[in-house]
Amino acid sequence: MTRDDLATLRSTLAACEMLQLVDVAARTVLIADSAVKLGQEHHDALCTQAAAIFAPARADPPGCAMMAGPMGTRVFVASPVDPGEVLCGVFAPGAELSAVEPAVRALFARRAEA
Amino acid sequence: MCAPPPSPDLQTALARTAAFGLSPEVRFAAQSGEEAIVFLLDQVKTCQLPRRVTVTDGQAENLVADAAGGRLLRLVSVGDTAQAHAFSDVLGRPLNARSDSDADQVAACLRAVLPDATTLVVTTARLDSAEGHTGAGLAPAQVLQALGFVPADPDPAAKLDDLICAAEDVLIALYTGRGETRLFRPEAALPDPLLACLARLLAEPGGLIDLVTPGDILFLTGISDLPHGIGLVRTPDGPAALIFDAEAGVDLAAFWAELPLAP
Repeated sequence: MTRDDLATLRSTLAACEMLQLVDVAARTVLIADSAVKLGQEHHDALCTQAAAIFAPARADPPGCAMMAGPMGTRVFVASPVDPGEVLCGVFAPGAELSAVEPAVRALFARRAEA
Repeated sequence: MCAPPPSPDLQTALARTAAFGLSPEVRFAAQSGEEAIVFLLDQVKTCQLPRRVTVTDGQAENLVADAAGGRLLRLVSVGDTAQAHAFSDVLGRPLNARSDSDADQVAACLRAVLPDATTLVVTTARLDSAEGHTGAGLAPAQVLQALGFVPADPDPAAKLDDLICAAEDVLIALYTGRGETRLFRPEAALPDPLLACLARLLAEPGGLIDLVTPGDILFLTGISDLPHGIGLVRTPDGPAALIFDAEAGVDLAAFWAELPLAP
């Protein structure tokens, strides 16, 4: 997956402020694309949250997680090909959240075939 | 005849441009001052990442503010010199969500800056320093409450009741950290693997409930082979989990994110 993949995906998702692909085992941000240029600490904070939710040692890893609240909604989708990779997104209120997981899974599938 | 869709390369270039905060301006013809303020606060809500928001009437600058996390971090300046003097106490300093006077001062400032019907032009740009992404700043709902446009914020328990009431068709049960279950479908039974999973999420050290702050719900779907979705939430009585039809997760998350914001 490339940053262009994320930029294109972000442009198709309403109210999407940031997308990033993280390696949860290594707690590393692999690539990111955001509506404004951010300090690394913002990317790291989202990565830390993804790593906590999808930690390899966790007995019940979800396929998708959404943290919803007054600070917007953060969406996390694990790669079906490599569960160690998670795509994270930050969305403003009013986002079309139902479109997010299918779009992310379609991107994972395209990249797996490439 | 429609123009051909942009090529992928152009789409990428446009997305890259947006990535540096050069998003197009937004225009809105407000029919009243109140409508103008509500529109401006709606724009603030879309600023999850740090941004500088500039409001003009198409010619002169009315207001400059910083926003992040869907909140108003600070009022930077107002265009009118007399207003700048009148609101000098609130301009240029961080806004505090726990201060009632901050919400009142911002409300008064917005009323003065946007008193009548006008065409607003709102532009956003990146902030030179990323700051205050969590916690700081005034929620738009606090300003709306100070203006008297919306009723006072309900308490967290009332918000959860609102969610339960609105989603009764898709909710199966509410499970508490003490192991108590409130079934919304009398015929439903929670299978043992689900109960074991709930106990791990809510009660074990390092359980995912530790990630959930008051006001948030963590919705989980696609857990093992379970057909259920789980929403972890903190209630006044302690941690709890909503169990629901997995496909309803996105609708529940969207509903919760749209409920009035807590300070």
